[in-house]
Amino acid sequence: MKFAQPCRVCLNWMQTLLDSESWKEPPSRIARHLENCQGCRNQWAAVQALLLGLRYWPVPEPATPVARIVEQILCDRRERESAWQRGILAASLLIAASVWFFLMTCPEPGPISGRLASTSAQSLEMPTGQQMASLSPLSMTDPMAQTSPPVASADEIAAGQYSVREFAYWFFPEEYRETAEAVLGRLSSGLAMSEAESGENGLFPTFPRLDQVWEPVWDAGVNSWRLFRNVIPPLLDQPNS
Amino acid sequence: MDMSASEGWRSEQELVKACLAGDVRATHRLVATFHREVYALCLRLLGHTHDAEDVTQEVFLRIFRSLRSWDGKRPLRPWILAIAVNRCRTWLRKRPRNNALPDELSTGQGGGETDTAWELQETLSQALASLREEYRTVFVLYHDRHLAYEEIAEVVGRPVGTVKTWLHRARLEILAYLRRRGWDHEIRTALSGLPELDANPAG
Repeated sequence: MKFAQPCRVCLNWMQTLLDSESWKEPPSRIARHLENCQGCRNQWAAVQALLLGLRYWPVPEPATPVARIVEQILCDRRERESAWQRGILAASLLIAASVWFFLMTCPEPGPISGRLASTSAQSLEMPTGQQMASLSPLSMTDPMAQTSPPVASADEIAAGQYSVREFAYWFFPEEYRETAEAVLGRLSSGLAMSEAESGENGLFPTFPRLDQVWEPVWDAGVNSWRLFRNVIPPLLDQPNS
Repeated sequence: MDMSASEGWRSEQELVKACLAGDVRATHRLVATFHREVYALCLRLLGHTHDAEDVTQEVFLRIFRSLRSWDGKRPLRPWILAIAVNRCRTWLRKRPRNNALPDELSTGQGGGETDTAWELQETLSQALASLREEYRTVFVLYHDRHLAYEEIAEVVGRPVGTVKTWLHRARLEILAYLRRRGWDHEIRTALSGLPELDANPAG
């Protein structure tokens, strides 16, 4: 349905009236215009109806009492708190179960531990070179690793180079073994030199050589493993009191 | 808005702080302060009393879940109304289209109004329901909740200029609806049973 549209002047005046939501008699200029303009007169009537409708536009009281909403809020808060607690408990149980599973399925420490355990289940002493050669993680896939392990000469042991070769043999593939040995050897001897040359007050920090740290590291690892193995499972096995 | 200094909360910040600390009296106070306002807004935007009741409860749950995110430097009322507007918007999207006709006046009838007033209110509600969602929101916030342009802009997250444009268009569409329904002539006769309009409206 097409209406006669109100004129711009009347439209602005009516919007101003609606802005303030107050009814006013139209100014004389507008009143004269309204007498002659059907579109503006109809719009003016609609504006009056809207103003009146806005004033008598009832909002019924909400049926839900405030106390019930408060109760829902408190209930929701409790549920959310207990959900948090359940989540934390579930995460703790999951972590505990993971630790337990790890402890039960990995009988010995380190990457070569499985095979070490199969040959020396009770012994956690540092393996010999021959043992390590057969237990190397590379020995299963690297055919070159089946060759004899490095043999230490008295000079190498004195110079601290034997452990470098042994380390390269265990942890690097055949094609990188020589390079790794060279780099590690240089690093080890370089550190030793810097220690010897610069002493305690030198620019370089004093690092222990590889052969000097290997045994303490091994012992520390074994002792940690013994601690976990002996302390954690009994705790997990304890019945709930 | 008065936060009842007599009960120990001198400001909105203090009241919210007490609510966050788990004070049941503060929670009750906050809900009581805004309950009617949130319900009225939901009723206008949704047009259904039952929907408005449900959404009002949802709104308060949302408010208390996200109360920590309220910026204490800003007034609480627009923040709460913004949550209500968002919940209504979500509800309208989920609501089936055939359930869109307003029933809000069903509870208002019999309150002593004349048939003409009743008819005008019904027409106005239908006109409101016919508006686009954004237009309806700004119209209700301005004319029913009496928020300032700046507050409405904060609630709907749009610039003040956009709010003014939407409000202007909403009024034009409602006026056109009223004219289509015959409220554009003989208005004085039709409204003869209602109290006269005066220059200083109450409320």
